[in-house]
Amino acid sequence: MDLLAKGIALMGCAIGAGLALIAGIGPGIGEGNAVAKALEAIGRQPECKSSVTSTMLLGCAVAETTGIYGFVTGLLLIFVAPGMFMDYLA
Amino acid sequence: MSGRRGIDPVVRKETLRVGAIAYVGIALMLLVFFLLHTFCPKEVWDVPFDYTVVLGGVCCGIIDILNFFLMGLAVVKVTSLEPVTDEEGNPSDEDKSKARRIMSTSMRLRFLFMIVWCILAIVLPCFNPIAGILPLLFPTFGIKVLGLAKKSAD
Repeated sequence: MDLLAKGIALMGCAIGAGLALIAGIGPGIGEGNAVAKALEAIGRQPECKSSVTSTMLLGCAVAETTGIYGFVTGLLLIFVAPGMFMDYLA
Repeated sequence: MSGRRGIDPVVRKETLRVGAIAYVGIALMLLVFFLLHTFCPKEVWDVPFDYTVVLGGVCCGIIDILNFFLMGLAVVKVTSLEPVTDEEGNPSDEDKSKARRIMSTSMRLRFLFMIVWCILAIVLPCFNPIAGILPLLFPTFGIKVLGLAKKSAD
């Protein structure tokens, strides 16, 4: 029974980490769309290139956070949570 | 690409700004670690404050700056593309997909780089894991705070 509980806890951590890392897909798509639109804007108004680049840099940095949150959560679930569950179940 | 050592001035300026934000955040984090270490009773919560915390924070700051700088290089690479435009000035679909490809490749590589850093921060005993991972979130937090401050000032 104890072994089963530990197994379920570890399985939950692994599945949770996998699900958390799905969050990394969104920023990639978002950044891709943002740069495509920025390219469109620069094509129309080449004189705005530096301001578009600057805004897009900050925008991309903010967009990446979601991925980093998911990634940090995944790492915590892989490296920290199993130990805590094992301590709790012991 | 222009400016000193071929780096775009916009990327240089923003990277310096993000670096400053990251290191201000790291200084605050170290202060919090110090206060918790000094005032929090050890039997309640044993917060470390030694070289591992400082080293983790400093190295994570470097990772933050490098991550932003590499992203900036990818953005400049995309914006420096000479788009083939139609009569209305819209770039072709091929250019758009090339831009998407460059950004997603850059992001994938940067994430891999961050994964390696986080694993090192957790596994190596010379880094405190919290101090080594938490500063990854500081630049975005700083950008958001500065953006809000600018908006309220306007």
